[in-house]
Amino acid sequence: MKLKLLVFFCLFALGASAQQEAKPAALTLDKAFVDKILNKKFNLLKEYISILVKKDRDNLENVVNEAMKLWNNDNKFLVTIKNKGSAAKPIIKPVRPYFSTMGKLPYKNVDITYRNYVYVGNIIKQPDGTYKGVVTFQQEFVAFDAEGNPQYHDIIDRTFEIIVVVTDVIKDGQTKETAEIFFGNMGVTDTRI
Amino acid sequence: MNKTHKIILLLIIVCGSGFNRSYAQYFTNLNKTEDIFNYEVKVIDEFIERFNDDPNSFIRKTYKSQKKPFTAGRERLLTSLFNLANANMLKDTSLNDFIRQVAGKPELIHFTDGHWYANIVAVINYDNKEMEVPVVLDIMSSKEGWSKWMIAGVGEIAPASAGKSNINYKEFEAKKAPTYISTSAYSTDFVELHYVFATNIDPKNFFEASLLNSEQGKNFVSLVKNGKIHFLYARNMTFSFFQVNNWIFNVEHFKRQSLNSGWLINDIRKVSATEKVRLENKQLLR
Repeated sequence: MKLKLLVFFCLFALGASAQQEAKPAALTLDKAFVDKILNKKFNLLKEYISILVKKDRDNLENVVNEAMKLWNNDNKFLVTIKNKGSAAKPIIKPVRPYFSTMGKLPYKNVDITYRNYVYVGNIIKQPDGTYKGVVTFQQEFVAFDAEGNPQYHDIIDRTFEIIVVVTDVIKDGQTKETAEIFFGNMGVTDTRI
Repeated sequence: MNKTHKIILLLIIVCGSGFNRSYAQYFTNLNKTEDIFNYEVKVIDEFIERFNDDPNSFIRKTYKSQKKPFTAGRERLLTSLFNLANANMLKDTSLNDFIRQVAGKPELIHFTDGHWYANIVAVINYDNKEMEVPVVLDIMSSKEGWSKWMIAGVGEIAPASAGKSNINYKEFEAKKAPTYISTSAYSTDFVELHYVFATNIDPKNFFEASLLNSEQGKNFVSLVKNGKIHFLYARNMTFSFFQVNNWIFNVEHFKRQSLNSGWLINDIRKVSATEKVRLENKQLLR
């Protein structure tokens, strides 16, 4: 409800057309709303990566399929990881193969923390009617062997796109706007191992 | 004395030499890690909102949510957007003119307006050799309210200066051709260009008309459409702003544990209107 009111406010504040149907050029989403959605998605992402690393399910492909829903099933979007000590040469992978490599890591457990989500600036309308913005966050990744000994640890500062899909929903005879947030391309600004 | 303390001391010295003297007041009750995170200019969007002293800027909202007073005005915020470790810049007394002009009028810059550019060095696979080419992008905004990046300039293709990457461009062939470069693409070093430097694109969706009409642009697009060029990654991203009257400045990224970090102005000059036009054309590598 809060988002619907906020989107309506943005339409009014940004001078919507006389038809009251033109979507605004930019959205400013309520921070608490964005944090709530990102919390939920990051918790799911942690769960999926953890399952893939532990390899304790029969059909890991299903887990990858579930994870891809965080990106709206769009495998066009990529994950970038910079080599330590060589900032000019990133490793770039499409998202689906990235998850597949998680399942091949030589670890038995993983502890992932996502922190410091910061959504900055406006969320801007794109030519296809979606809106895109930028979020920065920090990811801490610790991997363990079967005995629980830490084998790998890194902290990565990331920036990534969020894609906001605003759709009209008719409810009780009234047209209201709702928004869904998906992950987009993910970049890296710093890696510390 | 560690690096953070050196920069703090430098800021305090600078305060006495002409920049806003009260910048040092930021440092009371310093929680080093948290304040460094809060002050870091994390993305170019944040640079723009802090430049404009947007009331919804991250830094103002953070202080408000923590119920801490934020007494910095526009002049102080503008000062904080310079790379204060750049000794040459600190000696330039005309910067006070810039700050006074921008804060006084006040002048604002806008993400979706023209006359600002992203500059990258695109590392490419060119005929199975790793090469690099400067690329300049600008924002196009439509009357329908949408915006996107467009390629406005391409330079000469040259041998790559970094060592060989291990990127296999064949992993990124999109089944469906994209139709635009997202406004958020800068946040991932324009990784979307993997799908732009492809044989199935419609060039007018990605290249400015003026570039497409130039020999340089036609040659480059021909190489892309014939499958001779494939994007690998981008490096050395900077931004150039021509939006402020009589001034042009460049913004670069400084990764350091300091209150003065992130995307900062590292080069600025006062120019006449004629000179500005000349330099903006030069910016487009034509």
